[in-house]
Amino acid sequence: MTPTIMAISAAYFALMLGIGLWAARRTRTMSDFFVAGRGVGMVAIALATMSSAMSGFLFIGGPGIQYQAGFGTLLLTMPAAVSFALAWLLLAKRMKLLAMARPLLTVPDAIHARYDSNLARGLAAVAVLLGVLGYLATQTLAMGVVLARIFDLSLVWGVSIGVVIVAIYAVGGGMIAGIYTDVVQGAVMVLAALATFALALEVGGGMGGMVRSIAADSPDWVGPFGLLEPGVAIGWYLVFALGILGQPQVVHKFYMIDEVRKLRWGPLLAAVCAVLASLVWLSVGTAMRALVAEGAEPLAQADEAAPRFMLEYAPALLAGVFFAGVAAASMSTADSFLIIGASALVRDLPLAFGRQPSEAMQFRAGRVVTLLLCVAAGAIALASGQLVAVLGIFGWGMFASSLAPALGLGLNWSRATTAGAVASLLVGIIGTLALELNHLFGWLADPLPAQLYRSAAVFLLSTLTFIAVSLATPRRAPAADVARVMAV
Amino acid sequence: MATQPPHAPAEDGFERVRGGLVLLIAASALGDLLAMWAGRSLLAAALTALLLTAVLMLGAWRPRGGGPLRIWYALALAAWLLCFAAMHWLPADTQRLVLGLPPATAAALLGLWLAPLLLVTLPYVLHFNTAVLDAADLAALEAAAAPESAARAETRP
Repeated sequence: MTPTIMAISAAYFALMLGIGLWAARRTRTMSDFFVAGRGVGMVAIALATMSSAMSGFLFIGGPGIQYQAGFGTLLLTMPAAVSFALAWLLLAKRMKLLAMARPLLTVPDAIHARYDSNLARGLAAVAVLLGVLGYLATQTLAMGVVLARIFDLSLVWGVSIGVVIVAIYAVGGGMIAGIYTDVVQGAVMVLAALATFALALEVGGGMGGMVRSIAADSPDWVGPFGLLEPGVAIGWYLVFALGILGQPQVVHKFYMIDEVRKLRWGPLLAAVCAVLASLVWLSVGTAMRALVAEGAEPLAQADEAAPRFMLEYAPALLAGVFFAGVAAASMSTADSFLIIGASALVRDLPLAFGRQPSEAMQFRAGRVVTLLLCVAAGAIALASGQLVAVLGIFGWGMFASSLAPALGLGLNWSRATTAGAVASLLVGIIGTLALELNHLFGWLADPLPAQLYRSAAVFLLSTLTFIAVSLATPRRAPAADVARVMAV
Repeated sequence: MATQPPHAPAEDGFERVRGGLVLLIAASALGDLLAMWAGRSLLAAALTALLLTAVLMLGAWRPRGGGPLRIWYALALAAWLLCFAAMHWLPADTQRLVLGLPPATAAALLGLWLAPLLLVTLPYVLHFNTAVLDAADLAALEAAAAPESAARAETRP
């Protein structure tokens, strides 16, 4: 990497640390640590939601799979145009109102409020922990890979430095640091994406020219499903649209907005930013594939698409912002997940077992557990090799399959029952674990046909279980305050 | 004879509609799973569109009805169905390009990126004060928040 890229990256990390230190001085209570003191504005919530939902995958993984499998992969990112509206419409208002009526801090808290069940709360906490571990490991590895690339270090050093930076601002600044680093990150993502999009079109000779070059080499690549099975692409669209209703890193932020009226503009801002940021995915993957079709050396690994494009074709300033942005995206996403994971361990699980830790205890333990999770994420990222990718893949699927029906449908349907919620949580957790681990280790022949995306199957099954078991078990009215919020 | 509260029939109707929407969600989900299993991608896409629309309607339905959002979501359903049909049936070669893309791919970009933004996300903003959170809702929320606020005030040193 050039000195310019290194200098921009170093400055960027210093800015992140500065935000972390500023946030640490403002973090005095449990509410500050877990939900940023419930005093965050609309723009910050929208940008933070967008950047934590998209993360570093948008800049590295996205162009990589686009390079590999064509335009069909965009069905992973296209749901952003509708998913934020879904989350805001079904959950934002109700979760914010619930948090005004009760002292809610976490997603399992909302599940408990809705169903008045410690079992449902505990299962939700387990789902959160499993999904968080998956996401944390992949974000930590991505952060380490990019840092190692920027500063020409070994992967161990890249991961270690990344973990130390994240630990400093997450342990000190909690969710306040998470939100405001996400805001900076979200803004940088959009600006870098727009500049990179323009550059990729110029380098590739326009979209039409790139498409014709690629089609001469691989006609299916330029079709609407690319090289994917159409059913798999449709499954991606489904899970990434509706699955947002179970993503704690997204819906947890609804507790944090300072005023319920400000929920109005959030989904539009988040969706427009996500669509603009996704232009990186569309353009860089296509440009690299066209360059290879025209005679450039093929990539050894698909994930090299964006780094190689930026190093070979982008001005150093843009490349610096891009690489720093990717590392910071991973860091800020990791930070949000650390806090969510810590809250599951120090608050949700003890409450599920009938313990009532004090606020001071949760605050202190939250910081210690955040630090331990940081170290664990680094160790898992370095030790588990291929398993890391699998953990990352099932992160979104785990949240979607286990939490989305009980939370997204449950807060909008008074006939939903505790048994329905518990059954769908179990189907989501066990189904996701069983299918993903079986796929990784090959214990049994894959029970699903190739055209059926595993997470889509579990998500649909979990939704059906939730509805069927709810209808088959006796109706029990939610608590009066919850019923009032559900009727708004 | 006990008198019925004036709002009770509307609330019953409200819960009945929501119950009906949940049944539509279940039917679409089951159909979607079977269609994906059988490799019928166009049918799966159509049922995915129906499932998404039913969930949106569930979120938008209020005690006073579906409001203006239901019209927008009906349009969104039509756009999704047209888009998925175009992705399956329009040419995917490079003889003629739209926005620099084969027509079927351009349909995906317009139908899955632009149309939901205009027909689902933008209407949420436009109708927020009447169809998502109006003055009556805010009054209800203040009532719901009152016990918690009082409890917090009592525990404050």
